[in-house]
Amino acid sequence: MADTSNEPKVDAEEILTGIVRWVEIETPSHDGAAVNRLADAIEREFIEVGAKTERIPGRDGFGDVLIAQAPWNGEADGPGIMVLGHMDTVHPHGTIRRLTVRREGDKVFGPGIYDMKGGDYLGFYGLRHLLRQGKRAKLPVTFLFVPEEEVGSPTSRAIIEREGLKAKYVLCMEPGRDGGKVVTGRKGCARFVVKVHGEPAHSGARHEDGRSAIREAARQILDIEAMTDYATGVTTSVGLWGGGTGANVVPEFSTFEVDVRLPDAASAEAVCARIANLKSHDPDVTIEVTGGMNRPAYEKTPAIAALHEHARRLAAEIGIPLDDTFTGGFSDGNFTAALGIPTLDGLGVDGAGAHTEEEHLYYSSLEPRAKLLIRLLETLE
Amino acid sequence: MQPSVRPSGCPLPDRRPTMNERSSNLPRIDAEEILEGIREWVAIESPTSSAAGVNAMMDAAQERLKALNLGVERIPGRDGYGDLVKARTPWGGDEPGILVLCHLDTVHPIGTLGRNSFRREGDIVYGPGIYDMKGGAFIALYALQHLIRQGKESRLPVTILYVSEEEVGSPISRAVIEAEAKKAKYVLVTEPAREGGKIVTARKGVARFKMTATGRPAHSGSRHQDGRSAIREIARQILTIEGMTDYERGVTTNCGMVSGGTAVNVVPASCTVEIDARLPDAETAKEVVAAILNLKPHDPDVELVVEGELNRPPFEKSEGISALLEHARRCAAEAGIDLQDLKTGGGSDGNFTAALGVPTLDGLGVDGKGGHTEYEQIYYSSLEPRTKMWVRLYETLA
Repeated sequence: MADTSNEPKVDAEEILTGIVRWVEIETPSHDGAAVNRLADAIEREFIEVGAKTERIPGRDGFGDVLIAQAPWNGEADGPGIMVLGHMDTVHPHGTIRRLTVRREGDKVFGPGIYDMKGGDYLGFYGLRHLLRQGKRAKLPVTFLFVPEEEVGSPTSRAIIEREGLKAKYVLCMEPGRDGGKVVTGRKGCARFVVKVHGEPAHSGARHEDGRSAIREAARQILDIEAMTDYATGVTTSVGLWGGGTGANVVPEFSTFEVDVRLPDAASAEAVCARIANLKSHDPDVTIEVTGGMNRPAYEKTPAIAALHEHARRLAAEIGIPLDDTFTGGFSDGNFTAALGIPTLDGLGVDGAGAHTEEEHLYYSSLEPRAKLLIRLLETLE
Repeated sequence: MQPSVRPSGCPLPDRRPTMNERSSNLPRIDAEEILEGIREWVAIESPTSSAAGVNAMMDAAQERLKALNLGVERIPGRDGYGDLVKARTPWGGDEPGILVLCHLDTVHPIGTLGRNSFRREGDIVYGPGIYDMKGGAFIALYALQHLIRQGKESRLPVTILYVSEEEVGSPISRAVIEAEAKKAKYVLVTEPAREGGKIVTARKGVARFKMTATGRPAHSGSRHQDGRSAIREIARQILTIEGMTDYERGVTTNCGMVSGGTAVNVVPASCTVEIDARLPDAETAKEVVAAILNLKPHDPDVELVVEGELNRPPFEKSEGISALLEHARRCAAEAGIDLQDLKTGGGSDGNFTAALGVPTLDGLGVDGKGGHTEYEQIYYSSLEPRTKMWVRLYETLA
């Protein structure tokens, strides 16, 4: 019986040690060299377990894209599983001196530990665990690590979509949320710039000749903000506003920028049309709207629902619930879901405080979430 | 008194003097000579922000004052603004007199002269600051010179004050203006005439405010409901403030500058707006200033801070001002001008003196148009009659 106890097991301490190694390499999106240091570390670990790796050189100052193929991929043909992660974080260099890597009870703090180096490592750990046991997945498994998700994946989007189209399933290792929920839907995002042009005049001597661009912008902003409807999931936010040249001049110009989140394609079309067709209240003022959809909505299709149900059964075997949620924030999962590839997101570690200096994961989530990923790799077909 | 000597470099009149003039050789008001003096001053570009440019103007003005044997005092500028120059007639002692109030700064940046060059086209003479207010400042000085050339004195002592930063609200000169006004019986302001030579007997008060809203930031995608938009709050406040404009009462409000937010995908935590209000009288000023200072946030989770005050008090047409206007109308009639007055929304240094209760007439400078624009101009034909009016004001105000 002694040798049975020596079987590989999923070990939270071992997982945490691996995560911390990756967290200690700080990787702000805009420092391509720093992100590549992490890509080097991740690539080494994959090579050690026999994976085939590929680096697609970064551009525009961003780091490389890292692709790792499971050792069995040549043997199993057909579309497989894509495990998706990003290596960059929102935290500037030096954050780790304030947000030190430390454990306080169940919480383990560190920059990017939750979003999403914890999840990145779970993906690797799942592969290694299977290999250690001499097992393999039924499908080919491709790991894709991108360098700049936090700025909208400008250089990696095409690669994500290209690899996504080859896949049968996409497992996105973004953090779990609200008590370990996975994500089966994300809103689409539209962006607009609105430029308002009025008539300037001296506010003392010629007030009546002026047509205030700021006043018109204020009305438009209130109209746009009023399109927010939490019941339907539409949110609008005017995030930036500027205008005018001096307190004593009726302002000729004003510009504002709008961020819109839309739960589905129908609402996207309706709301974008409303914003694109805004009309000025003051007939002497003109408004010009540019922009439109930026990321398509990630909608919970029947295939995604089925994938979630499958994952939920696996989670139940492990002894954890696995509810799903719909979120307004987007991820690289939006791209693959919009291509019609069943995508399950938020499979990473549970925790809180993403993008803040309180970022942490829950230690107690490491073992069950690793097991869940392993079971997904083993069972998806 | 010495016979007048024409300053070197000034062109001779382009018409032959009549026999009578030649024989009398009396000093006369000469539009060409006035224009040449104005040209010299316009050639010195003096935007408020250029202390060196303004000081060069002060040097030129000071030289002319000294040539008239006036007692001249130079008050150093500060905070990046140019100096002030004050001059007093040698006659009249400490008796309350006439304060002639001028500013020698302009709104035009250095180089404007290259675009709006000094040039005469028929009755129109162009140049930056020629109308607001180097033309007016010069004729008031020329009129005093004319008096002195004739060996005459004004009935009251005259103090001329040149300030360096009126166009930004007279932050450093206000105290000097008010101190001199308190010593004066009348204040005559050489701001430009408008709408066909009308002078100004009332100006609105000017209040300035800065309002800052502080909301709560949140990611606009995942945490929209946790955010409290400062931009949204300011948009509502702007509509409230703009809604206070009431042309019938003469109240105008203007939200002239706005700035808010950090990134398009963050519910904005901060937004600021700068407000200008024009107010016709002290009572209205009190009411509107209080209303703006007491604005409350619509969203209870947003903090709103309003700072500001009445910057220039309303310049109301008092009885003393009406009497002074009637006197000026008689002086103007002698110069062939049917002098009318009006009320304007723009502030000037006259607001400070009128609010102290000192009878003040404003807009006594030259006629023209295009103040603060690149087609700024004066009407040549207004130079001689307006100067005559000034001479008569000096001679008769008592």
